[in-house]
Amino acid sequence: MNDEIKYTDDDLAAEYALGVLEGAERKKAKKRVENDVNFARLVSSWEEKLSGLNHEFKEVQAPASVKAAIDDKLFAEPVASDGMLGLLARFRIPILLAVLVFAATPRVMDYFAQQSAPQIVYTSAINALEDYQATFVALVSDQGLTVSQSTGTKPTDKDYELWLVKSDGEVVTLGVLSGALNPKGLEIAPDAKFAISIEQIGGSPTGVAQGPVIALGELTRV
Amino acid sequence: MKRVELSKTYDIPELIAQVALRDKDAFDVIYSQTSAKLFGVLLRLLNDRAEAEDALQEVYVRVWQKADRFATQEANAMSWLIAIARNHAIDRIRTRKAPTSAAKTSDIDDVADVVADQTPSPEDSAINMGEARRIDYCMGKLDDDKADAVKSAYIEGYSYQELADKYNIPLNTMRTWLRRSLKSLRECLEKN
Repeated sequence: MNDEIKYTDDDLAAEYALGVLEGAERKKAKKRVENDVNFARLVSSWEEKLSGLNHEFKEVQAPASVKAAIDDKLFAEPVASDGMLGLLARFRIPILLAVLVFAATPRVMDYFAQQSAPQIVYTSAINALEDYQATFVALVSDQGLTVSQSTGTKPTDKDYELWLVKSDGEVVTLGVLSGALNPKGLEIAPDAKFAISIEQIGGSPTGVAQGPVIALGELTRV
Repeated sequence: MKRVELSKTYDIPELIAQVALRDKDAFDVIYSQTSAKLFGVLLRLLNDRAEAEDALQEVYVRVWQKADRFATQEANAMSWLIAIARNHAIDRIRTRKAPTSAAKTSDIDDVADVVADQTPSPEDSAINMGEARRIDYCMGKLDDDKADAVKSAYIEGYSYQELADKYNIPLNTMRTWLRRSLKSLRECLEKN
């Protein structure tokens, strides 16, 4: 029998969770935890396995000044960026994973750049319909509408077009995701839905969806 | 200021979910319920009170920022919080200049003085004692020095190199040693 043990991702996850790696090895593993869901799960599973050792850590009361400093860091100024990510946790569905991807998109970065904290009115997880894979996340705030794709890849010769489907059946285009969405002056009722269809570049020329509707999402009032 | 009833049992996972929704009261309760444990973790690993206080601030800022990720984790809430604290402490230790294992042990007594003998929190006694017995049993199946190496890494933050120095064996031997130990540990924990 070969005495050499095979070094697997699980071994690396164990070493990272235990904390014995250093330098470039630790940095690399840390990056993988951030970017690789499967690896993050392995690490998390090891953290759980080793958690029986946590009773070795005794409780020690921290001085009150620490909590004051934390509150100062977090709440002294308006927190513009974190609020939005937090709201998405409400969905409790695979979108949670997509939030990480979502946060890195240019559109959201623009959003973060706005200093005054936007008031989010609705969020929507626009989930793929049968036979399609693309999912999206929409946020409607007092400063505009943001939609980001969470999973799936857009065909290069097509555009995704966003539609507002009102409860009375009326359907209004809100523009293509690659362009400027136009929610200005738009009234969105809580029982409306978002839909996304695949259209020619620039969107449907007729104002009515021509391509297939691939995803649908209800609104969640914040 | 929100008053926390000590007798009340808090549902930490639920509180984390509320923190993900930017609930500051829930954050205050999480802090009041868990900060003593996390401070203990940081003190033990960093072995420096001022640095541990500084690290505790950063850890809770992360908890606030990363609460939405908790739902994607399989770990229980307290393990998740402790993992954040441990990882942060280890990152700090690894970026220190020329850490020595001698320095690690010399201050342990000082920290022990600081570590007040407190009764375990309900979280500790209810969830972790079962886990603790399991891991104690499985660590008992390892050779003494191997179990000790795993503990030194987990509790005191020893790196591979520091462990190799401590046991006076080559680095690669240490790696093989520890990987085998972790594999055995995993098998035992999954069986028991």
